[in-house]
Amino acid sequence: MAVNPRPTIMVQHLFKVNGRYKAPDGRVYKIVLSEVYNLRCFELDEKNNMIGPMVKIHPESELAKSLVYID
Amino acid sequence: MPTEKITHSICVGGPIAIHTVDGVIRRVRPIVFTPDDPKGWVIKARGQEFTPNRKTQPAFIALTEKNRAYSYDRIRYPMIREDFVETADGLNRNTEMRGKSGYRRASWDEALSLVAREITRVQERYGKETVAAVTSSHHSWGLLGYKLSCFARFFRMLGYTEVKDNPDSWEGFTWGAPHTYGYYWRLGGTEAFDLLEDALQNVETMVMWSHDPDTTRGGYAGNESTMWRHWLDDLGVQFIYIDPFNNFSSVKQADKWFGPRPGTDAALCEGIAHVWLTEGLYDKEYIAQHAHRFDEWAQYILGNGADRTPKTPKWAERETGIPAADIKALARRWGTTRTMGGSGLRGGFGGVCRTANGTEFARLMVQLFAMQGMGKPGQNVWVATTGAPMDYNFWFGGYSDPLSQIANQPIADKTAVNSVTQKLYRPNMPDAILQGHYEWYGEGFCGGGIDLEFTEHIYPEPGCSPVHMFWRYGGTYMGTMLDTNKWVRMYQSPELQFVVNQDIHFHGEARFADVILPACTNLERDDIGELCNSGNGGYQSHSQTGNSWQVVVFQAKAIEPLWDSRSDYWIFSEVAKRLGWGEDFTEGRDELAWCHRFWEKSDLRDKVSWEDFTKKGYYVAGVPEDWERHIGFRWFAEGYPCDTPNHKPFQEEGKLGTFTGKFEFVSESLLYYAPDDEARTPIATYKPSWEGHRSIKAKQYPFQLISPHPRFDYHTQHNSSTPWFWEIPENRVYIKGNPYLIARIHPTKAAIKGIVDGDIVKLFNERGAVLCVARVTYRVEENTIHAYGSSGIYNPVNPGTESMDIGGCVNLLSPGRLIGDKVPGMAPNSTLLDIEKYTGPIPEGQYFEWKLDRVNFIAEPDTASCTEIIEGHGFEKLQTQFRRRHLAAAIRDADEG
Repeated sequence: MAVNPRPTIMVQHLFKVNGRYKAPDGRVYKIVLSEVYNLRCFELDEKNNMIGPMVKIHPESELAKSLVYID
Repeated sequence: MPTEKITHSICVGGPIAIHTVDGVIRRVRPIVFTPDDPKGWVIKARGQEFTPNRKTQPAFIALTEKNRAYSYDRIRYPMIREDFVETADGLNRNTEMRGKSGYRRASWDEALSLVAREITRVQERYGKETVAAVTSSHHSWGLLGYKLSCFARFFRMLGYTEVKDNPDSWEGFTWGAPHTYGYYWRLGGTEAFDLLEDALQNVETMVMWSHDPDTTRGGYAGNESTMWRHWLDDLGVQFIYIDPFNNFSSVKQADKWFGPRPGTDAALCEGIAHVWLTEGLYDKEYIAQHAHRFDEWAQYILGNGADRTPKTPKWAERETGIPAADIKALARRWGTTRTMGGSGLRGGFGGVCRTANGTEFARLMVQLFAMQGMGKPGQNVWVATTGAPMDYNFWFGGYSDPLSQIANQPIADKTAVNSVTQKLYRPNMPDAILQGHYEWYGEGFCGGGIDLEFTEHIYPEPGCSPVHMFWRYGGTYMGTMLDTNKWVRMYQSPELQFVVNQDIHFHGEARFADVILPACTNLERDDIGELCNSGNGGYQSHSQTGNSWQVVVFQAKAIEPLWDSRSDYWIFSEVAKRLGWGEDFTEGRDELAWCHRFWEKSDLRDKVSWEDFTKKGYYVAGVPEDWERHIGFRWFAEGYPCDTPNHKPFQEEGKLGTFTGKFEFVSESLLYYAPDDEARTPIATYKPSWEGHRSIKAKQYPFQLISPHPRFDYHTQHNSSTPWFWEIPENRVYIKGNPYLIARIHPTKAAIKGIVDGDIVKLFNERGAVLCVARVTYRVEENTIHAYGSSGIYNPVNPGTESMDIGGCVNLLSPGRLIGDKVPGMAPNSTLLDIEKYTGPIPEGQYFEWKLDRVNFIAEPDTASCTEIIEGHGFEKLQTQFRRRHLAAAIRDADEG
């Protein structure tokens, strides 16, 4: 396969859309969108309700690397 | 001193600023940006720089919102059909009088309580699924008031039979194109990211096929792209228009117009392909790398297929009526210059795909662009209406984003879930109700997967009750669906025990309801939204690249709701309250609080404070000076992982969304799912229409009607309620109180029929008759009658029966038959009819005004009549009355203060 002359981080195969991921601090995120730039998530409460503002997580960030897939 | 305030809103047609003086809307204009708004993008191409004007560029329909707000046909009060009887068992309710009877004014409490009682009665007796509800497309703009938002929240919480939409603007592309190149998640449309720059830098020829961007683009994206096409013109790009009607963009811009016989465009595709194959005018290397079973298809084109018929230009001439020499010239120009094009307003729309052969055209059109190296510089499906630079890293939800609807989390605290699985299918809903049984394939919009085209549905669903209550919300299907006299039969059937209509204006379908609930316009309520944003995660994602500017608007209420009208949100809240779950519906929020949620849950929150946003009224998302390009299809042409927004994981392996990951010239998905489908064969081929020039019926009805999306309306929401449009001679002619639609006929055929320009003519077939005014013009192909579809006006001579219509509702004449047994798309442009000069009596008025006038005059004896408002002086009288009321209220408030 050729090389993109202007490479963009490919995130869509790295994380599962609508999947739940747990961060080291115990917070659980639901990934609602994965675009060419960012994962877009909402934090979930204990009843799996989306709370707070939309959270952007850069796929190469330490936080992204630390996320553990739940289901 | 008069008090003036300026608010902003967003309508179908674009973002606008509204000047309100003393409580009355005086002026509507585009939003002009201020110096603190961001700079526009700059595209450098061929030694020039291109940047957009610093304002929004709404279409004219948005600029007439004042006329629409104070329209003669506003539903001013809740109304109940005068001969409706609330029987305990739902029977003997004079349903046969729907459409004929007048109305009486009701209080909100009476109307809403009746609605709540009827919902409770039918659902307790028959089950939740006995209530069906449906909206029109784009009833009014705004994420709160939108159909997928407050309507969806109410009915999902209630539990109801959902009426699935068909993709009525792009049928052939949804049901056809994914089998050639994937993109089912874009509903068969292509990806146009950053193609404006590519075109300005590289394109030499534009093929505008069944495409009238100055007409059809406006309702969705304003006039934002008009300037782009002028830029291309100035650069010397040649424009070729292909359309049976030399449309309004074509007459302005075309270097060459081709007018094929309606429904034969697939034959034209095959004729072009024949030239390319025999003269070697295609990208053989690209095809070798990116196409699947190309050679088998090529053999078919060359005459070595089952029909042993070479698809030569001469053969295509016999079908299309376009001279073979012209077909050759078109093919050679296209095959030797860098060419972009496509059909319809985004390249995958257009009247051509709403024909019996629509899927095959869509597939063949994609195949032609593939043969020229789709994705290479200046070679793509792109029609100069999308693909502007955009900051893809700014997220604000569009109307189809599940994330930006009050029906769902995160906007709502709790997602509303419909407990009913039974469905109906919109084009054939009357058949289902009247026959009590209906079967069909597909999910309508099939964005979730190509397999969704083949799901099987039965109505009533086993174990479910039929529908006995129908709630219709916004607009009228009389002008947009098929063979629409059958909607009359449905409404008059006792099967529907109770019918509710919720609308702003007294549209054709409202007149069949038992209870009418008056909604207000979006100038009379608070909301929030972004033009042309169908979603950055919804269907046809990132469609706002059809705009020069990405503008999120706080839709502040400009005036209080007129008369007794109320916001859609208020109406649903009040019914929910009467059903005992009002608090669950609202979650304690008023409309402003919901608007705040959309701000809070998007990137808007990071860009501008709520206070600054609501004070200024809009936010412009700028494009970084060195924005990162993600050029549509370039990844596929050059063979690197897909980098465009809204792509699927498998594209990162360099594959398309077909079974083989390539352009399929023989469709493996059709071989798998529907190998015996006669309408949509594994090799896409031209097939004469089941209602076309080769039909036996053509001997009786020799003309082909095309009824494309309208120039002077958007769906059905404007033309009926904006009499200012009736002053446009190319739209309608106002005769004795009725606005007759223009129908276009070629001079040769007009002479044979004894018709001269300006005559009242009757368009007719076995399904009905419509009176129009003739426009005799060489702009229409010789066998074609052109009359715009989506007439918001439906005025049958005998209301409530299958009779001649004077409103221009030509969809009465269209066939109810869908494209194929397994292709549930509509084909209104496969309509045969005849035309004759009409010499019968001309009626007075529009037939229905008396229903409104009677209610209105009882409520306000000094109000203006419908006719007075249409003709102008009544419009001024209304504004004066509202001004006086506003000033009196202001004085009263001041005194009390």
